[in-house]
Formats: sequence, structure tokens, C-alpha cells
Amino acid sequence: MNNPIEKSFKLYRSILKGAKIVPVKNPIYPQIGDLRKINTIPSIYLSLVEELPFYQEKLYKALVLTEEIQLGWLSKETPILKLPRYRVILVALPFWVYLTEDFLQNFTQKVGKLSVDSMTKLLHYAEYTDLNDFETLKPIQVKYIKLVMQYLAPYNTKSLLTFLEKLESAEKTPQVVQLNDQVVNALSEYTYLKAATSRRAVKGKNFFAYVEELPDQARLIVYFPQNFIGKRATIKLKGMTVYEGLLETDKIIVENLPLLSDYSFLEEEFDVQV
Amino acid sequence: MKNYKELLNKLLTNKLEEKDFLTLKTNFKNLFKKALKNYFSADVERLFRKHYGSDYLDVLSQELFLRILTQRETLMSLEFIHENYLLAMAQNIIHFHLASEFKMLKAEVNFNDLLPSDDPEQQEELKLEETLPKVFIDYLEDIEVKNLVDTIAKTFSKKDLETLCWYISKSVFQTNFTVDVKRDLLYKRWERLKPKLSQILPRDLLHEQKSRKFCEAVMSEICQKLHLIKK
Repeated sequence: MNNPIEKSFKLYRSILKGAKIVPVKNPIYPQIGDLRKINTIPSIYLSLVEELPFYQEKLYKALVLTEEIQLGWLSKETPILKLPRYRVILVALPFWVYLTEDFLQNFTQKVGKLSVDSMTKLLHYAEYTDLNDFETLKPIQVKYIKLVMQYLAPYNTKSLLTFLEKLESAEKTPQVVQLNDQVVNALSEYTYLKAATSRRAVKGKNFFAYVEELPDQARLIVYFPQNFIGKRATIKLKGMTVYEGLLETDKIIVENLPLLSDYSFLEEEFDVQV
Repeated sequence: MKNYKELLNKLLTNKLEEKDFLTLKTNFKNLFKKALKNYFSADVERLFRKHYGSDYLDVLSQELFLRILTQRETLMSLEFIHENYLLAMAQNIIHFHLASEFKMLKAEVNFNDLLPSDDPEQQEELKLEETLPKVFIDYLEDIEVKNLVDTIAKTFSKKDLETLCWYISKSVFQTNFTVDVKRDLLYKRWERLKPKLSQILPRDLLHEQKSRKFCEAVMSEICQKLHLIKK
């Protein structure tokens, strides 16, 4: 007898090669508890179990389920989910991915809602199932699960990378603006100003800034409200435009500021318009 | 390989003529025939025949029409609809019926349930099933046992196979098969074989009905085929 599981695997692999994920027509915003189907053939289902907020975006921890019972079923412990409305039966796969809310909203369809108890069981199965235990007994199933992992990797890694990039850009590489001579000269009137306050923190209308003094110049580190990210902004100092463009993060650094004894004028003269 | 794009486009835009419908229906029946033959055992086909009657392929092909409606959005976006897509769908429909123990056919299909615009918020919370029905587990275990026996046949030495056959026939089936090897030596070999076996056998094998299936498969697929035991 030829091995039906091996044949199933070959069929699945051939389909997955050409699989394309397409945008959904009626996007529904993701929520914890959602059971979602990635808009592709062969179908892959996701159970959203956890939400990780980060700045403007959210990442969701999603457990993976499949209609390929022969390939996905590892033991009697494997969770089973029936969708009678769609006449579909699913088995859980023992792994999860992290996906962005944007991906989930635009490329997956919501097909139902899972009970909390079911979500806990799915998570438990994924956490405690070691694929190595099945290498000898169910080698094709293990190959299949790794193939699905691989297929989802770009979306998974992408969401993780996006997550890290955001973290990095927000923490380490904010946008830097260099003041030109014209602006610097315009600030010379403040050079001989007696310090009214030694404060280095400046609070504007819609920003909060901190002055960092270096040996030969000062830097202004400006923080914006989070909802400014991704918006076009015009930043002016003493009426002169020093930056015009997209705010990539919620932080911008203005360099080449002359060393002064008092920076409180910035509260009036530094202006950000979104 | 056949491209179903044109026919399915017509189906999904309500422009299917009767002759096209008949072509699709015949093709779908053939797809199920192929799916049952390639991806399932003869037992599964017998079950469908038993529960749904001799026109079970008709019944299943209707299900594929339904499935295509639910996959409308994804299918319409494809430029080439490979026959394999439908073959995989056919396979999953068979899974669904096996898992429902052939009771789902009696449950009426509500077409409104299949509309993509249907609000999923209105649905009840879904809960996991306790387990797959026995008929499905039997089938999955049969395949597992078959794979196991294949692995043993391929990787064990002739001596090991001989010992395994001797042990199973003696202690499981209480038969008097003999081997041309001294009894003491067989016991020693069996002691050496045990750890090797425990490495590849699943832990639950010796405690469940699966073990009976395993022993029967070893006897028929290895011992008898290779003439390792004599009466």
C-alpha cells in the first residue's frame, strides 16, 4: 500500500508553492478570541490568544490550526475544532506566530469566536508539544508542520521585525535635524541673556523637549504625542522652517543649537504643526 | 493540469450553463474518486458507501460546490485554479464527514450561513471537541501502525525481525511458531532488541488496542511475507 499521508503531504506542498495571500473584501478589526482564516488556499486558521501593544500598533500572538487532519494530527492530545456552519473540521498545530493587527485585519477573515477555555487548551498544547518526540513516529507530519511554519515565517518574522525596527527607531535612531547658520545666527540674541532659570526641560504646546549640552553645541530632544507618528509636520524655530516632512517616530533631535544659559524661549519660539 | 478558472468563474458569477454544470459535476465526482483512492484506505471508501449509499460520490460532489461558494473570494482572486486545489478541498470534505461520523449530511445546509457578509459576531462561541470520533482515530492509527511496521521492516536486521516475530507469536498470539534458533539465544536477542524497539515505539502502544493492530501488522507484513516463522 502506498502511504496516503506521504501523498497528502506532496499534494499540500505542491499547492503551498503557488499560494498567494490576498486582501479581504470586508476587513474586520482583530480581537483576542477571534478565530480567523488567512485569505489563501490552502486555508490556514488562527486563534488570537494574546495582544502585545506597542506604540500605535498591536501584535497578536496567534495559534495555528489546519484542515489537513491527516497531516496535522499528532496524538489524542491534539485539539480538534469543528465549524459546523462552514462544514469544516480543524486540528491545532503545536506552534504560534506573531502577526500585526494590519495583517490580521486586511488579510484574514473572521470566522468565529473561541471560548476562553478552548484558547487555554490550544495554548497549552502548543507550549507542551515537542515536535522532536514525533520525529521517528510521525516524520511526515513533522515535515508538514515545519512547512507551515516556513510558509508563515515571512509574515511572522516581518511582524517581529517591524516590531523590533519600531522599537529600535524609537529608542536609538530618531530623526535628526541640523540647524543651518541662518537659524543659529537668529538665536544669537539669546547668547547674552541672563539665565532666568536653569531648567533644561521645555514644554511646548504640543511637544515636550529636553536640552542636552555637549562641549561645543546643544541638542534639543523633542518628544511628540504618539499620534503624531506617520504624520507630516512642519517644525519652525523663530519663524523659520527647520524641518518639513514625515515624523517617523515620536522623537526628533535638533542639533547644532548654540550653547546658551537659558532655553526657556523655546517654549514660545519652537513650533510644531501637524 | 486542468485550469478550473473559467468554469468556476461562471459558477461564482451565476453564469453557469447546464452543460458546464454537468461537466463540473462529473469532474468533481472523479476528484473524490481520486482523493479516496490516493489519500485514504479502502475502508474509508466502504464507510462512505455504507452510510451514504452507492451514489456517495454525488453527495460529496454537492459538498464541493458548497465549499467553493465559501471560498469564493480567494478563488476569484486566482488567475489559475489548479485541479490540486479542488483535490485538497475534496480531501478536507472527506475529513469533515469522517469526523462527523457521517451524521452531518442529515443536518440541513443553510445557505445564509455560507455568505461571506454574514456577521461572525452573531455566532456562538466555538468550543474544542473532546476528541475525534473512533472511526477517524482508527483510520489515523492504522496509517500510523503501517508506517511503524514499514520503518521496522526497513531498518531492522533479519535477526532482529526474526526475534520480534518469535516474541510476538509466542507472547501475544500464543501460537507455536518456531524459529531455527536456540531458545536461550532468542531470549538474549530479545533483551538486546527491547531498548531498540522502545526507541521507535510510541509510549502508548503497549497499553492500547493499537498494540494489537501493531502486532497483527508485524505478523502479516513482516513475519509471514518474509517467511520468518515456521509452523
